[in-house]
Amino acid sequence: MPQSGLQPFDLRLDAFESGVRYFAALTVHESNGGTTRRDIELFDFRHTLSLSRRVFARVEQLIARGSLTREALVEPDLQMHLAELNTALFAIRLTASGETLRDVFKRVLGIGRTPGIIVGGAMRLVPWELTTPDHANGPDGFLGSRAHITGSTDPEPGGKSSDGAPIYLPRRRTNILGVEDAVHLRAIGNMALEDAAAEARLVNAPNGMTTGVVAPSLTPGAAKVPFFDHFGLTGYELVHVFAHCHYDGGGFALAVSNDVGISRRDFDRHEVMFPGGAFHFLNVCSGAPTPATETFSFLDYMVLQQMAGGVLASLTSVRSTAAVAMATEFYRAFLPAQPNVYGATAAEALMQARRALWERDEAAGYLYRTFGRQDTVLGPLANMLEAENV
Amino acid sequence: MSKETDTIPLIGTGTAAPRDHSVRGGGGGVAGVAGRVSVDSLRDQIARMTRIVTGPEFEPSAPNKGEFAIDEIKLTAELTASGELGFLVGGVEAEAKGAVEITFRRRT
Repeated sequence: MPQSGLQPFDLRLDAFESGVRYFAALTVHESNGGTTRRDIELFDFRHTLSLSRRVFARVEQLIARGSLTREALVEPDLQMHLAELNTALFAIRLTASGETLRDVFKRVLGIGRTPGIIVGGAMRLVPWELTTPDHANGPDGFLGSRAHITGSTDPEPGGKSSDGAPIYLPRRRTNILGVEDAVHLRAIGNMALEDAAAEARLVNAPNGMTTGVVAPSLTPGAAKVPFFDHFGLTGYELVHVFAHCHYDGGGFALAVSNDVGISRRDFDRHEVMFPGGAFHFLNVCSGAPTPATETFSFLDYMVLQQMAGGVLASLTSVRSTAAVAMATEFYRAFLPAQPNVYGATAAEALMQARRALWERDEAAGYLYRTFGRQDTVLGPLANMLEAENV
Repeated sequence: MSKETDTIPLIGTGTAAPRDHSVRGGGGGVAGVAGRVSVDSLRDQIARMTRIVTGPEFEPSAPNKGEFAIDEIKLTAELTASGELGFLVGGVEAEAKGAVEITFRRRT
């Protein structure tokens, strides 16, 4: 069975713009031992976003210079920016309860198991994984080592309270992707990337019972139909993308070779439809939105338009070697080794991959985040059908 | 064959990959010379467009009697990769990056 006790979430933070003033409404939702509490606060979020932008910018500089090693992650400039962010973020005081955000986080982190924390709206633009409510450096202190953080692209269904604020109800049922005899994967790849061959080998056969296929390569001027025909509504559970990604006026664009790019418009023009509920690993730079790429992201497209279930995506640029290592370690935990057994949940697999990379002096795991259903798990088809009938 | 000094480069932006494949970094679209257009050809095309807009077809057939009159015509044209100048129509916002804006103002 999947890891027991992993609640869909224990703490949820969202932010909404309020009129022309850039004020955000913060909703804290705790679910611990069956009790729930909700605080709504108004505060100016601009300063926190500005500090987040500085952290991301410094991380990008470090990545451009070389691998994001343990030493790089604790270098003085980054630590100074993180300290400012930690102070500004966790010192926020909730008027309703009188607690600081630090108090709330520390209580949730002390529940005796790894809590699930969901961040939505502008809250997802904060590098939560690198923050810490108690100023401890290193992986033991980072929130990314102590909580399953997942990003939300839209509010959970749960209705609205009398004052119009959304109510978030925890979903306790695990999101099972049913597996019969094999896990099937479809991929988009750029073979010009460093270590691309290793990543292609990985997605072709990431585990004993998994089969994967990379979409045919595209040449300049060639029809894109065969490329997009590679994807269909059914027949696979996983989508994997390894390519360059950037944003322009038309939205996201993927460079799938030195000469060919595919944009969101291409996806629309070819009426591409991925299986609803599939798990997507967007192993591209900045697949998820950050303060620097605050736009309709590749992630948003996959979740909101393609109805992806769970998604794993990077928050910043990432070195190709680290990206391949990340994929290797994530799939090692996420994919079941044989039929009739479960893999780890996406959240737990991410945590395991972070630890494995850290052991090799690579901190890139802290730049990845799960989105959507962090409790997505690959498991026996019969169990999925049974769960759906509950 | 026209000399390079008689031509103007057409700079295009595309979704080609950044050169550094060791980092999956964005870096935006890559600008490059998509082609060259001859100065004579470009001059002819702008002149033709100007003739159309300033020709008699655009002159009011009768004196303006109302309160308002056309004082200015603003056209957005786009240079294609082959160097052809054409009107830019709505719904192609991304391509507007390569657009040329020409304003015709009534002589006073």
